[in-house]
Amino acid sequence: MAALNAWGWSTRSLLLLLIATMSFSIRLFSVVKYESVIHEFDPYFNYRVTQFLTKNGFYNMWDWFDDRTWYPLGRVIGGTVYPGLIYTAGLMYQLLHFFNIPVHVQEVCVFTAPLFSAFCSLAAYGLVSECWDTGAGLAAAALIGMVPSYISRSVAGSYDNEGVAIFALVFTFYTFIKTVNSGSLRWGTINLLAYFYMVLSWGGYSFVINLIPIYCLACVVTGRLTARHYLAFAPLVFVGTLLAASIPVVGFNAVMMSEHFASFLASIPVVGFNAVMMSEHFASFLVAAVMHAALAVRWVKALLPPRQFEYATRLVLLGGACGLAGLVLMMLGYVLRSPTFGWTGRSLTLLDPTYASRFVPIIASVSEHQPPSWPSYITDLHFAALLAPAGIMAAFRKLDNGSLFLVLYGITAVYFSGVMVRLMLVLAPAVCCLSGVAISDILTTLTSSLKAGYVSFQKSQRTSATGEASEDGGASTSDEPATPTPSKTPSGRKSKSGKPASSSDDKSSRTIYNSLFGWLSSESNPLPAPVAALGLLLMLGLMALYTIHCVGVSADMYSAPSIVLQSHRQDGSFYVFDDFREAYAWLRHNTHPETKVASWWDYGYQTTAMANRTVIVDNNTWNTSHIATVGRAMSSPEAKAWRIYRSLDVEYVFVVFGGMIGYSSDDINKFLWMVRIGGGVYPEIKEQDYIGEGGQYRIDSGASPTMLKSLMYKLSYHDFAPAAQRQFGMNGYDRVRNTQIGKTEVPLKYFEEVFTSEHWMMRIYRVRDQPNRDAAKPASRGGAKRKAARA
Amino acid sequence: MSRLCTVLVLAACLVASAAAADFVVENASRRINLKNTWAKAIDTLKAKNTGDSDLSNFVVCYPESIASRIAVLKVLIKKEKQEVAPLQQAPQGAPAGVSCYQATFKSAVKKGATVDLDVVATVTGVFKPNPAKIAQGEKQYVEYYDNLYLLSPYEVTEQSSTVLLPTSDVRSFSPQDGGSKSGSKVSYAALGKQGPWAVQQLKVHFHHDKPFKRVNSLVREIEVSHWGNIYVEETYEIQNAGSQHTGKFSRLTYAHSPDGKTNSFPDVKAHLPAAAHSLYYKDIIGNISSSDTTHTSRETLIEVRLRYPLMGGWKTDFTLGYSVPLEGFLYRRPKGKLRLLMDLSTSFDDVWVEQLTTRVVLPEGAKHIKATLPFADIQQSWDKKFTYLDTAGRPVLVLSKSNVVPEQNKPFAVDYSFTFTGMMREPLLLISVFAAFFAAVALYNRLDFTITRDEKWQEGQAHDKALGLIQSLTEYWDREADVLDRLVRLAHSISNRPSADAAPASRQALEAELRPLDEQSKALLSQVEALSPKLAAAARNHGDKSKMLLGRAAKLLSDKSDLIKKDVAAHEASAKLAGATRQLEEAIREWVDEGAKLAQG
Repeated sequence: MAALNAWGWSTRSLLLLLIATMSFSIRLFSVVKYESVIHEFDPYFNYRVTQFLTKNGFYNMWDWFDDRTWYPLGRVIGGTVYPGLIYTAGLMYQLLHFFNIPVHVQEVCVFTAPLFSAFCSLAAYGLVSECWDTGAGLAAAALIGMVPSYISRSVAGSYDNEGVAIFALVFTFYTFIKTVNSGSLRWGTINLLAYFYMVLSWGGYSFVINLIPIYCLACVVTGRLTARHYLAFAPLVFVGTLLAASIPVVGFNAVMMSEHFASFLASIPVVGFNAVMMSEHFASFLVAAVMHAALAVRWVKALLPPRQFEYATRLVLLGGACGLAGLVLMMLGYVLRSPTFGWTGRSLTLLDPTYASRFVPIIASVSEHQPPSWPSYITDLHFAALLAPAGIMAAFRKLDNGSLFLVLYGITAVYFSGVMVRLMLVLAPAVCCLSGVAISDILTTLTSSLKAGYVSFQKSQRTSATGEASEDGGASTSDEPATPTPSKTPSGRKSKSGKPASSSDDKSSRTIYNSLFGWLSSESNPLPAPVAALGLLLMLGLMALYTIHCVGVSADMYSAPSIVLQSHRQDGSFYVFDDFREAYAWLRHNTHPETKVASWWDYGYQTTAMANRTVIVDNNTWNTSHIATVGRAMSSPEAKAWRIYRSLDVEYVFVVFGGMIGYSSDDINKFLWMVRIGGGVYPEIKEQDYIGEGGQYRIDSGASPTMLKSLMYKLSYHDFAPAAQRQFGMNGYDRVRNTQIGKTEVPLKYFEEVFTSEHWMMRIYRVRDQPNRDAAKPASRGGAKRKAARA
Repeated sequence: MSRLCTVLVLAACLVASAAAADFVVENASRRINLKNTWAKAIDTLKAKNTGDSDLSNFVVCYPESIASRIAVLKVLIKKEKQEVAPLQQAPQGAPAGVSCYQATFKSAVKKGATVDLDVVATVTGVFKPNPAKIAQGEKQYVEYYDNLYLLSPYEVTEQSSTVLLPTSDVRSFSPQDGGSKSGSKVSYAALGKQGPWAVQQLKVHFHHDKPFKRVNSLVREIEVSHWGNIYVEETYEIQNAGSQHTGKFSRLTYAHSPDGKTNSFPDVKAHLPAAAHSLYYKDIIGNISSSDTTHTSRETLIEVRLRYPLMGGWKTDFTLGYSVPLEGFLYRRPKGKLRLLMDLSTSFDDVWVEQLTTRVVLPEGAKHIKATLPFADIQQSWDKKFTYLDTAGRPVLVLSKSNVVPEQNKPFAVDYSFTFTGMMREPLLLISVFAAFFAAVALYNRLDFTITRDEKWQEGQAHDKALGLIQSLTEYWDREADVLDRLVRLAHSISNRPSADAAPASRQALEAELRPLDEQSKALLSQVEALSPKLAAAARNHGDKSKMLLGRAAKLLSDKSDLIKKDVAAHEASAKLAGATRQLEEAIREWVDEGAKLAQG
């Protein structure tokens, strides 16, 4: 009938098209408000590799040894990147150029993430439709299309792995559930390819290869294991791992890394619990083994008479225990050889959130590796965070293959997001899918209640139309049971209990119970119409709020490219601070192409991409001691720093300084991390030396003498005091720290200012060939020269 | 420079008297204007034909160092331009290192007559910074070298030279004797009579207060679209060609000292056509967020602020793009021809361009392309460009020229022919591709890729067909459901005796409606039977259920009528029958749902 067609194919596709368009366009604020430009730090590296790919081709990128970074070590790009994103953009570029559409690589890169967000919402629709129903699927697609957490990593210009990886993640889950539900080998193959794409795109693939075993294990434990699970899981683990191992960056990590053995060991006593904790692949093999065993047991059980089966069980258990004990000893020996027991820092951080802050300052210094705060859950997920538990409840009520998966996904993702802000991104799809289920469930209940109310209202209208039941007519809109006798309650209308509830006392008490709580217990029980209407209004209001919140957050918080800053003027127009690009452009055009440039590692990718100069360290923080060397130079006094930089062949050093315009994420504020990281490798750098009076990190008159002598202080505040005097009328007033700097006279002997951007945000210095002999009075020297010139 | 001078002097000594001494320059007044960032030498000559015949050729010469940098050379008689062409070989007797040009007069100079000539040479890049490197805030001093006398194959009776300088700060000038400096002017008033090829080096060392804005390379691409737009994109590499900046660049000094900005420039200004729109200004790493445009009725003034101020020797690049409409730039010519009229070079003020490349991209299918160029030394070549949906590529006319000053920003014309069909080519291409795609899909849906037609396949086919028939059966079922609904409503509406009496008649009328439906559905059912007995059974079963429901509805009706007839009040009767009514309604709804499910297989 007509009602059935409401969710027909064409309406659904239209809605999905609209949702996809919305997902794409909500991410374009950055282009509209700023410009079509690559954002932040890591995207610049991806952009640079993509440029290389489009220029030099696939195989050359595979073999690329990059000597523009990590001087003098260099970096093997082909073997150390997850190339999924780069190939995707490269392929799109090739395709467009095949049709002679002259789009620049940059535009392709800028719009890759929004495009894949649109795909992701489609994949989420698929996943939830497979797990629940199409209505929930649509809700989930709409939610995921604009969830702020995901927007933060996929606005136009945010050309990062996560942009395509979240799509790959959701799509892999969708195809997996589809395989489980359909048992089709075709879907199994697609699932395999989706997983391969996921591994190509992001290190987060280990989440997939751990969640799926957990799910299968849960199926084994709860006894819902079928051959279809096996069909979905076995190829994924075995062929998927082979595929993963063929990607250089993953390589034999997929099977060889000792942390997998460790997790294997840990997993034996309490398999179910530890499977959650295992960070990489071994879990999946183990689960595959468990699945094999479970299926084998079932088969043998069917084959043998019960008694013999018991004997066989005992025999197998005994043999198994002996074999296992031997295996455990071997593993233990292998694992104990390595000092950290084979675990990598990031994996350990996942297990023990305080690990990084205690032992690995490089991981801890990155803001996205911090645990999130509560407000960030609300900012990033808004009411989806509240609805997700409702979704879990709903899923438990109708527990099947799909909903079990959603529940497990949601719960594991919550844990991981609690460890690192960055992993909020994995949580967002889970929360959206669960909220989609919740919204769909709630709306179904509310609307069907309203419909039931409307039907009975119509009925009462009809009766009143005949003229006799006029006394009932007035109450009909708000009070739905108009025709039944007053003694009857709404629950009496329950379709299944057709008989009038009149006979016994027991039954009447139940009626009273039903009248109060009945609508909670059963699906088919409609709510009272006013409650339903109110609930509907509330839901619609919440959804509207969510939309407003998402659009607002997307427009205001997550669209800034961070290489361009804007400030509002009095008249409503914008003032643009474009200092970063100003300085990078200067480096690109006015220094020798083979120059080495040193800066804190945050700016490494940008320097290689925008200035095209060789850097010492960059955002790929693979070599701690190299970074520590730069940290040490920055924290050392000028002469020592000069020697360090000379030994590294560095000709230019730049610092980012926000004191003039109040840009707070500058190098002075990051300085303590440099000290810590430097001190981690070079013990002569001690954090206490840089702490001023009152145990605080400060740069004013209370700053420690070591701090005031450090290169970072000097490079940041050289010449600054008189400029601040002219700008703010206060000698050496720092706008970020809101104080007067400790030492206003900052002469330089070993370094020479060669460029400072318009708002002083980037200051580039040349490392002198020889120390300046009369550094103390540069002004008088210049003056004398000028006089000589006039003569 | 000095080497050149000695050569010149030696050569001058060797010169025999005039090989081409048909003219005698009676009066030569040289004005060398160095106020701008390039030099402009204006020689005002009075020449007399002393030969035996009418003459229409006049030779002007410059030292090689100047000649190689001449951007424009004009010979004017009463402000009328004469044709000038470089001479491949210097005239006989010329000293080494001299390049000459020959002007051809439009009307010959009669024997014994005199003619007033203005020879104007615009020369770029001849200022030599000395010192070559200066620190921030220091003044820029440059040297200028030229020949003191008019370098000419003719005898000069009387001459004077004046050098106009941008400032009065002159470090030195040579030769000292005969020259005098007053303000920003160095003049040699009476240089007396000189024979042909008189050579003496003139050198002025002075303070030049203007930054030298040199565009190292400029690539202009003009792309014509007959859909109403001309895109212009200009890519510049610009450099400060003055004294090299050395040592510290202090932002403090730059921003706050009065002389911090000397010898640097932060911006350039361009005058674009008034109709220019969709401007953009960017470089390889994105927009350059600082520029200002002013639209007036005559032009669009754009002030392009560079990423950073250019100190001496610093360079940067950028791309400036805009669009103009076809009107005013593309004209219809007779015989279906078209003429594109665009400026050749940059519209920036006070810059000179070392290497200019102008690419004119004409629409795909343009033929008979012919360019009319304002200067003879422009090189032409051809290229092809593929952009949106091109199949054969667009013809590109590439014009290149070196050493271009703003006064050479003259329009040039390109004539070509282009037909309407050429314009429709791309839309038609798109339309046909989409049409082909849809046709392919339509065809695919009608093809059968079954490999074997075994029993199972037959069954599947039959099942599909049967399902299609059942789909049409649902229509009848829906109508039956409607009749059932109306029966229930009828039962509801009975409230008094007359209506109770009328009830059976209305019931019969409704049932009569069903009869034809029944027959039609039976016909359909028999078709289904032939295809799939299983589905037919299910459908028949479903159809039979409706009979049962009909019976229940009839019973409800009669019960209600009976009650009313027994004088039970209408609402009491309704209340009594409420349970039964609801159950029946529920059953009808279930029945309908079941039918829909059946139809979906």
